[in-house]
Amino acid sequence: MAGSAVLVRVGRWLRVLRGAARAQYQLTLGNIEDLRPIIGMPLGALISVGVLVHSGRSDLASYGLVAATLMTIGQMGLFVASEIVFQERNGQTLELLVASPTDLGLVLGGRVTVLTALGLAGMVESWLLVRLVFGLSLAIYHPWLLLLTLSATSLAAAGTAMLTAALFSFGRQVRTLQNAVNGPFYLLGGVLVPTVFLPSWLQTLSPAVYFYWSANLLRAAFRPEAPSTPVYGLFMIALLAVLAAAIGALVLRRMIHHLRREGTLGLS
Amino acid sequence: MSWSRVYRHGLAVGAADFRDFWSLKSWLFGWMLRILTNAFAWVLLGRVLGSHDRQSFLLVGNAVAVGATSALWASNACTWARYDGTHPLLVIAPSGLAAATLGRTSIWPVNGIATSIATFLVLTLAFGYRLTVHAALAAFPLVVLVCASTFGFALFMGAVVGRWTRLRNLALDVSGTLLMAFCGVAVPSSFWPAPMNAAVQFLPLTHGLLAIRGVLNDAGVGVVLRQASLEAVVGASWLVLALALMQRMAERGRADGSIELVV
Repeated sequence: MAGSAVLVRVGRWLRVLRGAARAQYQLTLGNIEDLRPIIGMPLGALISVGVLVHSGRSDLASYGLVAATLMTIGQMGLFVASEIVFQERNGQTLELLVASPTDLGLVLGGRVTVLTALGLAGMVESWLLVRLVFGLSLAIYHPWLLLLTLSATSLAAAGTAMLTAALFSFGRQVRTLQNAVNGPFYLLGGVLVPTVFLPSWLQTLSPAVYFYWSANLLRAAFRPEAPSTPVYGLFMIALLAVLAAAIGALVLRRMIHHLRREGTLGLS
Repeated sequence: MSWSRVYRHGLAVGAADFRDFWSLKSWLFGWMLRILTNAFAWVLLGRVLGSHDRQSFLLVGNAVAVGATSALWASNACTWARYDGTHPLLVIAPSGLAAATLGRTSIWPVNGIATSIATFLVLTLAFGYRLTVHAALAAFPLVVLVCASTFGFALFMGAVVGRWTRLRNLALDVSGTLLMAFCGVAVPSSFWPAPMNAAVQFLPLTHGLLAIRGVLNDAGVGVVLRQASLEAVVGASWLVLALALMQRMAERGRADGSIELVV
């Protein structure tokens, strides 16, 4: 009896997630602002791979490819997905969302997941760009590692977006926060330059950023030798994803509770 | 009203736009933090390559490019009058569109200059780049020149996206990245195929950056002046084209009723 009740509940959750995801997909297709990272970020590979090829280090071209990919996913999370609650509040639709019987966290979860998954297109685009412009066909030596890391990274970006969407929902410091988090995240995560090149005191912070694990695993997927501790890396990405999402859901609940209590839910 | 008075009023609106975006705190800890961490990553790429020269090349290129890409924001600012609903009023005003638009948008090259100088200073200190006071003083007006000529180009872009304002942010992202890729910021522009290298000679940043590199590497006054003049000509040409296009768009808007259109 209890088992079937759980199944019914899970089924309901999945329906909400699917509906939210589909709605977000439709919204995004019609909104060029949402697609900005997917169109703009892969072009960054022109610069980074350009530097490497010019210096005769085409063997490191995957660095540029990985950076362009991770920054596309990262921007989709930090700049597009993180603004969902803020936008709903601006558009006066947050009240309707909060008043509906479905859980806001679930709706948000479905929506951010779609957005960061769309960011995965960045990998394909950058790869094609590098092929087209520099004539380099970057060989993928560990396709499974690449696929798993990309999926985990997109989920981690979604989890982080849950947290940032909640933090940004107050709307006062959105731009400062977005900008302040963005750059340090990429630098600490070693998205373009592996963290060993950072000052040692900064390196100690890197493992707390999911990009650090993603970047290392993605670069390893383009090297012939066997990757070191891939399972541990994937586990860490997943752990950081779950942690961020859980804290995000909690913060969101508290924020919404606060806004309702103050009667400022519809104010923007 | 005289041209300069309209310009000044426009500039006051521009200053308000700027304050709407950034306070001192958010400029330092939001804007500059992102710019600097980004620039750090690029200079560190020089360290990966194990070459001091490459690192210096990337450092100077990035410190100047952040100024140019910040000045590009003027293209975005060109479209804001449409969202404010003041664009038709500016078009029909007897003093015309140009002075008001130039005034409102020219706050962004100023931000470019500040951003570039701040980035230069921090990177110089962080990476121990050797910069003499003499060279720094000579480079400063060239940084101003690069931001000003990029401003001319940005206005042209702004006049174009004025018709398709929804594309304004995307145009800003893409143009900034392309300038950084092809205008000699990270690699010399001669690295790219000949047609591309030829095309970027007509874009802002290319010559100005060469002039700045010339100053910092003691290349000789002749080379520096030549490149600086080319940068000025390129910037002025874009500015003239921008004003002409702006006027044409305004007239066309009056003719076909698209003057109030925001798409």
